[in-house]
Amino acid sequence: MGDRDTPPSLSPLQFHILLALTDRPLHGYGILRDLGDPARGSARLGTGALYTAIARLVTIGLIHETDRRDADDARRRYYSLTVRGRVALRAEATRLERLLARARRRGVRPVAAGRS
Amino acid sequence: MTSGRLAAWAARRVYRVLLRLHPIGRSGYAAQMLATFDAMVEGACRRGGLALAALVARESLGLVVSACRAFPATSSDVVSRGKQNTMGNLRQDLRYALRSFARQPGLTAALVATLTLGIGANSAIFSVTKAVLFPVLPFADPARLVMVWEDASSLGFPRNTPAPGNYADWTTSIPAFDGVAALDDREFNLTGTGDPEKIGGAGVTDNLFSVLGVRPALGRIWRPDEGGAGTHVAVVSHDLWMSRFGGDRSVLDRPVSFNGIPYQVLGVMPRHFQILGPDQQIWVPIGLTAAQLTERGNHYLSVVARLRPTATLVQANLQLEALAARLQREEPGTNRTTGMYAVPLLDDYVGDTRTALVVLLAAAGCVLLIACANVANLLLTRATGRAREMMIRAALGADRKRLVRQLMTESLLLAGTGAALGLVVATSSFGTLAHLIPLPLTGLSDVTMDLSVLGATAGAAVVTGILFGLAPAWRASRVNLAAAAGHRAPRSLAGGHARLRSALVVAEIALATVLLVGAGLLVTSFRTIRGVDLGFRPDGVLTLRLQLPRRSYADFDKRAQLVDTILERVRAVPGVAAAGFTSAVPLVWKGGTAGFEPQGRALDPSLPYDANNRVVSPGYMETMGMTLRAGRFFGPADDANGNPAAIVNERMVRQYWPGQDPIGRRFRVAAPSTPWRTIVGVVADTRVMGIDQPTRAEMYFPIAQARENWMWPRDVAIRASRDPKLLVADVSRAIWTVDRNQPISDVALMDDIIARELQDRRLQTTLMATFAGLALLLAAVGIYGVLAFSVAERTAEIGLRLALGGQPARIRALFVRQGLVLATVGLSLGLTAAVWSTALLGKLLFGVHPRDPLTFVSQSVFLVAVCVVATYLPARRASRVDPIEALRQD
Repeated sequence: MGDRDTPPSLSPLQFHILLALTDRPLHGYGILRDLGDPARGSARLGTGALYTAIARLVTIGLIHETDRRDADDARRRYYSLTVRGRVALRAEATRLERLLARARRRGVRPVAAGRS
Repeated sequence: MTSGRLAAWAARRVYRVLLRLHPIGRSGYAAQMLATFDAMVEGACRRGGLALAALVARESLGLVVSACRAFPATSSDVVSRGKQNTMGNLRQDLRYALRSFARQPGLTAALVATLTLGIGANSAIFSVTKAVLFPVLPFADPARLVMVWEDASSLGFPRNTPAPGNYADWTTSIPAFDGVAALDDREFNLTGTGDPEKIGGAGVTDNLFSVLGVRPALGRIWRPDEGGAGTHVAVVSHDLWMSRFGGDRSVLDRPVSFNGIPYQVLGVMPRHFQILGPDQQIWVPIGLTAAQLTERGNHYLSVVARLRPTATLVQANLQLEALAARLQREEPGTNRTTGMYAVPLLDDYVGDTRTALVVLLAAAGCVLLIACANVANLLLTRATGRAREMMIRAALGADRKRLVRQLMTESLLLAGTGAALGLVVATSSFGTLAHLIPLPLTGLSDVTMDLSVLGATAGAAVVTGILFGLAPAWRASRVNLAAAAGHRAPRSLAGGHARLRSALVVAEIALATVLLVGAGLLVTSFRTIRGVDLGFRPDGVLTLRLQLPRRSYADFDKRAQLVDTILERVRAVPGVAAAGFTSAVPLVWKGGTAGFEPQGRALDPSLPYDANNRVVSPGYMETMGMTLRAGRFFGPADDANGNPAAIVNERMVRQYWPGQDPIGRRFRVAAPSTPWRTIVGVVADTRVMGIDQPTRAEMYFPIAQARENWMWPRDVAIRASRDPKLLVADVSRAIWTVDRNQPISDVALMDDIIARELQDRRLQTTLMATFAGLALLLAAVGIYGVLAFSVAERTAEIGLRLALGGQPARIRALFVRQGLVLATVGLSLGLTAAVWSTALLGKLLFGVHPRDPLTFVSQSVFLVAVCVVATYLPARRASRVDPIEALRQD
């Protein structure tokens, strides 16, 4: 087990989920649609992987289930970021930024804008 | 319920079942996961059935994959370690599975063999089906190509080769057709280097290749102005170019001799190009004259047409029907009863094979279902036996998910092994199964294991694995820790299993019944067809073909002389008992008819006045062993100077001279210039049209008197007094002493011709019987397993009964009765299903009704007998239980 104060490193999927929850709480299907948004450039995700990731994020305390209930479907549960989650998200974003900067310095440039 | 809603409901069921096995689903997320899935289903339904299917496939796979990943680390906060654990656990699971299989080699072998046969049978039949129903046709846009036929059902030819006059009308009067091309069958004698060889080919209209949308790989097609009469140009197949001309490009520059005429080869077709079969290798201009294009009496073309992009098959057929109706009025002489229709090219190629394949696919599917049920049964037995082991592992701290995963690993391992071995079985059967490919597709479609077949098999294996992995895994995982304290847990666990296992056995027996009845009907058909009276004696008869070159033997007298000389030389060969010439030996040419007219009688409009037209030499009928019913056979007196004679068959007499003595009556072949002929003999009907086809009216004329007959002598029949195969070399030499350039082809025993005729049926029947045998064997193993388990489980009870003075015979009866109840329920369900499904066999049956009571009863008796044996073995064991031992166990 690692140090409780160091935020855990995040898998890309966990990062995407946290990112989806930054500005508002969402239920599973909402997260799925947010991730599926082509603008965000993410592969198709299934419920199995999604909820496995959600369960883990809940377990390690990065997100929590809210009391909010959906009028359309009472079975839905909304999730929002915990403080720890926000910290972890920021830490991961920073890590990625540094990584990117390093890549740039070594001359790695993004591919020309196109379909990919 | 609409189909869309039904599909959505089914999708939810599948998802719910999988969810129950998913660790996350089982730790409280199930409801919201379902809610999410429902929302996805709704979206997919709006996009159509394919989207829904894709969603279900993706989600099922996703659940299985994520379940495997999630098991070890749901409570760990170290992500990287989760991955390591997964791999470590997977290895451990596999090792454990292998060890547990090794402990029970008998059961493991039964499981793997069951799966191998189920999956093997399926991928084999699937491969053939794919090769036949989805071939790569060597034409552009083959879906728009159709074959056009005349319907002369009233004459016994529902798929008759069209007459040139009718073809000419199709080229102009059917707007749905973009192009219509015609072929006629030809044979070419290739002389020059080596032994003379006969090569199949066709005369084709100038537009054939453009209608098919193919260009030659080398050279070009003739231009319309090169295709007229008197020009000798040709296009050849890639195969012929390679085999006869060594792939030499210079063949285009020099003349080549076909039928003794120098031909200019203009082009070589691409490698896999073939039309109507692999035998056509030379294509020359058909050269139909303007006069021929108005002629509707001779039917000898094959016609292929391309539908206009905007037209449908239905439109084409409506236009053909209208044209046929008009011609029936305008040309009553030739078209009074002629219909016309188009069939998609591939359907025409596949023909009746489709029915056979559908039946075999269904049978193979049944075998797979039975195999799955059996494996589930065996695994249930195994799981029940392992209940205590599971409890101990649970008590030692193994997590429930871990146990489920262990069992799932075992199932998938089994299914994987079964699939791999099944593929081996399937691949090794391809050689035999290739015989199911219909002639026009031979060479185009090889039966091969390709990616889609592999996918289907792997799919079958995974579905099987999940299907039979689910039930035992689910039940075993419900082992209650609290129950581990008491001894009764395994017993109560077995209670639920017993019902499920009985249901599985009933289903197995029901499916096996359907297959047994189907196979029984096919076997009866095959036996019936083997017993059909052919009207001649095929044993010891050798046949060979002498295709006389049209040009060299255009002179009738020269031709008649040749026949006499050849027969004389052949009869002199030692070992030849008799020999005769005919235009076609039975079963090799199922056409060649001519109209006729009886003398001195008004024509009856209800009769077709059409009969098979054959010219034969004296001695031919005796050689074939045909039966004379009245009068005499042809003799030396029936020569060019003799009184014009004819022999007819019994059917012709029954149809046209009913209740009269036909000998001495006269008739003539339709054209008015031919002489009246006197019937000198009547022979028994022969099955010339096919062993399973009704006989037709037949008329035979002496070759020497057949000056006006368009039928030429072609086939030689030889009755041997020793092994006929040993005569071939001597007979060929004898023929070549008459004409060194005469090709000899189609050398075959009459017995072989008959075997070839029955080949499809034999293969279909054998496969069906094999499947039924497998099904019965598997069902017997199933019923045996259930009872053996039941006996083992009730050992204590049996011991008690015996100790209290119970009779062993009554104990035996108890278990036999239990087995027979299962057998009877399965049998009655199966018979009900069979009554409805044997109609599917349709055209595959001959001389037996699809609901033939005798077959139903005999197969039922057979099945029950097998079940009794399978039941008796465990029952006997029950009656031999030692009461002391039994009571000590509990």
